[in-house]
Amino acid sequence: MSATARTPRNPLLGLIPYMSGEWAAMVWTAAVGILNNLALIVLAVTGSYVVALAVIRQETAAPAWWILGITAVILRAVLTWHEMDISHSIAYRILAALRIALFNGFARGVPSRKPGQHTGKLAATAMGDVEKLEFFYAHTVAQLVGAAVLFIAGVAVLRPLGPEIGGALLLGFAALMAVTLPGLRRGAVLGARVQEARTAVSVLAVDLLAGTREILGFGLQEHAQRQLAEQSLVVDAGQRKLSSFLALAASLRELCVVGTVVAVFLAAISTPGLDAVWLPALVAGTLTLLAPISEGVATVTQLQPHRASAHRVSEGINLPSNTGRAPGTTEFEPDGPLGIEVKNLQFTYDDGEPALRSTSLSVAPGEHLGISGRSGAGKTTLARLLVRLWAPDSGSISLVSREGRAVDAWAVNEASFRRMVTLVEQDSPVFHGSVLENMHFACPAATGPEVLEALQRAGLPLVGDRWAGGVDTVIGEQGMSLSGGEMARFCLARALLMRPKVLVLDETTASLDPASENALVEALAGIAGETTVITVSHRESTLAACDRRVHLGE
Amino acid sequence: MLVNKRLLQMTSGHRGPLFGVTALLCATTASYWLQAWFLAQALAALVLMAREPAAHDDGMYGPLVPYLVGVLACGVGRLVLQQLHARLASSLGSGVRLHVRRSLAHRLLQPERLRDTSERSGARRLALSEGVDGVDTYISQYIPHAFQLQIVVPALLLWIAWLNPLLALALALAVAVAVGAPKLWSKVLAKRGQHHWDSYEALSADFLEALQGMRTLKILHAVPRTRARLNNRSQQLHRATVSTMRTSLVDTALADFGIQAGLLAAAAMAAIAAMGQGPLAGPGSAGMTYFLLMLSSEVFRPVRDLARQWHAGYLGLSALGSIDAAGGADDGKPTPRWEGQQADSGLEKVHELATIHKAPTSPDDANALDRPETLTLDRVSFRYSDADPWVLHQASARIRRGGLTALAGVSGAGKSTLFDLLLGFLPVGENRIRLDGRPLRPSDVSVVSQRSYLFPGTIRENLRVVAPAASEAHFWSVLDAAGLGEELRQWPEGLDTVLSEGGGSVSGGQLQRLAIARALLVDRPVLLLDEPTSALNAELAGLVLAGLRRVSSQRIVLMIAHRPEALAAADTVLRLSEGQLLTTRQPEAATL
Repeated sequence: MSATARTPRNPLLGLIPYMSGEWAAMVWTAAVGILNNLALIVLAVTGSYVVALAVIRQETAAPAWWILGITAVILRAVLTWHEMDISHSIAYRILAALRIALFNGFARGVPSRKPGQHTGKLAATAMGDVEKLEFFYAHTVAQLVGAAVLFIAGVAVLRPLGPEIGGALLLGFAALMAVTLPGLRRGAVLGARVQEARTAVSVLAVDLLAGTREILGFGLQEHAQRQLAEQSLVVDAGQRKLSSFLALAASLRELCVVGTVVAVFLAAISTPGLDAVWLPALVAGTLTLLAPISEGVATVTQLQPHRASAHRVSEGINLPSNTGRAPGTTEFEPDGPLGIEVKNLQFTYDDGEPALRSTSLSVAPGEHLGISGRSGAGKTTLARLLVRLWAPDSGSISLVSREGRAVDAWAVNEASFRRMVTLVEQDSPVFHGSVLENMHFACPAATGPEVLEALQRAGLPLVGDRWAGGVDTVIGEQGMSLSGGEMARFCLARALLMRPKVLVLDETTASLDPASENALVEALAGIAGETTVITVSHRESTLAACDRRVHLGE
Repeated sequence: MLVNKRLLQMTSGHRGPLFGVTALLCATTASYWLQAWFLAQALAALVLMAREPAAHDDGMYGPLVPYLVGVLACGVGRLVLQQLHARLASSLGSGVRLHVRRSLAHRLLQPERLRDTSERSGARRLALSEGVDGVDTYISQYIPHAFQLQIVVPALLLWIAWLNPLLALALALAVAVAVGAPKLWSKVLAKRGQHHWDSYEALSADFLEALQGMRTLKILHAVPRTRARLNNRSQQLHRATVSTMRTSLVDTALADFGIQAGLLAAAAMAAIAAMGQGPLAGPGSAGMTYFLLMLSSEVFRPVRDLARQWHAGYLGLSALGSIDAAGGADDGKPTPRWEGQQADSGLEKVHELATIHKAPTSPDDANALDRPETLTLDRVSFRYSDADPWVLHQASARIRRGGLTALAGVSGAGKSTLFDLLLGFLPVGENRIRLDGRPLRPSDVSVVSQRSYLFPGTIRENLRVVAPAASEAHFWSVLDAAGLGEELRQWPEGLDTVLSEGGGSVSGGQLQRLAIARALLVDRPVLLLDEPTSALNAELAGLVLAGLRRVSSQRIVLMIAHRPEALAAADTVLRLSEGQLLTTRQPEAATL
């Protein structure tokens, strides 16, 4: 679905479909906006007329005028609040939906196989860019429509007074367009530059946070600060140009409005038969009529810098899948462990160097297979292909039940495949939160005792002062309170909790001391028969416990 | 009174530009007064024409032209003022942003953060990027507008009072409603703003964590659950935003009410005054009537301008919470890290610190010239808190140059803690750890941590950053020593191979050797390695250990090790057990 979605030339237009579902609210917003502007026009006309009457004719206006004025004052205040309230509610509702659409895109395309993708960049899109679009959703469509309706109606109403006044108004409109349109492109370019530099700041921030240990260890604080300052200055340089551009556009718009006032003034004087008492009211009313148009034009100008944000958000939403194949829907969940049949599996990263040369292997249900190979032989690639993180370029993987029924791994539906086949990666992350919350990522229904038992089996019993909170003990983000060996056992426990039928371990014992390694090897022996285990390792002592061993890359 | 005190404090050091921006805003507003005068005169001329038609012989427009030209001239003059304002406001914002970001980064780059389990990098990322931007907008936009209001409105009211006191009174009342009423619920608003930012921060943290752990989430089939959780957070944020905004918008509506009601009242009074019936009739000419009326409307311009800044105001206030959570920008006591190098707050101090820290890797560094002899631990004690057991208790050891020293001990014995003490990440008693008799400094130590972080970019950039002066040949020599040189020479891009975020584009073993090469490149007398061979097969481990052995003739090398091959290769083994260090010499160390 994503491959065919075409981004329109102006990415802002691509944002409009996300408003579907809010159309009724948008129409209401436009109506409220029109009414609100009408109240303002009434106020301007009333005030000017009352004063002109007093000044020119020394007369007091009729009470109806005063009542009209007071009503307009109250109406104006209430409508102003209501209009802004609904338009912002709509906008933030759409933003919430956009964030989830972005997450779906990210879930498809992260982590990318190509270098260059950075979570700091994507996070900036999900938070900063989306937030910027508030402006688009809250202030654009309904307001522009409202302004247009009002303007056309206003010109029509002024027609009987002769061509001069309507002409002056149209002239003002034309002038507004003339000063705005040529600058739109520049606004977009400047905005893109600023947003890009902001993203770079976000990327640096993520690196600074993730690499704090190295920055401190190597004394790179000043270097990091300098990079951050340099990037900040790039933002500032763009920002300076952008804000002086926006200020210029605003000044020019204002000049147009002032010019229109003068033109209407002169046009009104030269209109024969117009009572002088009505003159100021006419000028004030016309001016208020032009105000929403001028604001609409301002919106269009201020919108341009957000094009870049819109572009990145739709890019994120349409991120191509990194797996390369959609999983099937076959129901396949036989009892007992599963065997695996791998035939001529091949995989190449985008840079052309094959990561895995044609590989075939066969694992019996319940077997414990060891896979070794030199550094860079494709062990990790094979492990990821086995659990369907990526689709192979060629070759096939089948799951085989104890009864000998074989099914293509990619045909099995996602939920049951993930329940049956799992992988413990070399540096699987541990998430922010408690032990139990972490385990719930794998098994939402797991209870405290089940979790303790799984940890025990993985060789990480929660004993001692450190674990005083038991399963409610909080582990920091990225498992910062755990040592490397503890992390490995923690992630193994998380996998064991799922009771998989195939368990793939990628260098899980690498950072374990011999005692912990023994405990882990014993734990694997404990699930022998009920789970097929594939251990990728370079350690002789880990491989020694396997039923059979395969050397990759020879 | 309209400005948050903490945020105002952040402008110290930027007062000049701040006053400049405020002055330009005031001047811009004053230009509208002049424009109002011209317009009033034009209207008065019109009134004159209406009363006595054909009294002028220079045509219908004649008397109007000079005034209308004046109106246009005001517009053009304002264009210039607004350009100046935009530029000065930008440079004010730029200065504030640099300052706040720098001191925030300084606070985040502290070793304490490495152990704080409540830390969430997504939240900190938000503070460093969008949070700092929010503060900038508050300072460069909101504060000057608030100042302008406080200067211009009273001045204008005084002027009007001089012309027509009753009108001034009515206007003052309207301004009081527009500006003062929101104060009644400013506390509620601040609280809601905080709540809103908390939700924003939580969402940001969850988002970044999900992005960084996406592969694991997929493997665990936790993507749908994570989506549900984010959706929940997103809805929470939506509710928090809308509830904050609703209150905030009441301010805008009230301001609008004050403005319109004030203007209508002004019109009424002007009308009464013009007819000479009022209790305090103003000057009778039409020009003055119109001028007064327009000035009345000008009273509200700064109020309206400030109301338009509500977005900036509310972003700044909520960002303040996030910046405080990240350690605050300017106040708060910094933790002294090590002797002779007290970290301090404030930009000047940061610069001072920077000069102390400058180029510890330069070739003319004194450390590199003399070979170190002994690293001494003299009755070192450490525990994380008074409630925790001792990790090290009166532990002593001497680690010498020449030969590999292994640090062994069961999992959780405190090996990594000892490394952190040596690195200065944890406080240690004065003079307890010495290098050849003097206290060990962090700049004496080069390290390979267990989970090394390589920065996204090329391999060359990763090496260059720790040793800006090193030559290409030096790069290759350390890569060879780390056992990666031969392999890397065969890669098509060589040193220009691009590493993705977190080094995800190379294998675990390659990453580990890159980290070792990087540590070797930094010419420091002490080299610490945390399990340097964990991801390597026996052959590569041998290569790396042999390389380290060569290095140990120049530096003191200490490595955490529990693999038999690494232990066997060590000449000395320090065993950490129950807070004590036991030294064993291995004369039969395996020479690989």
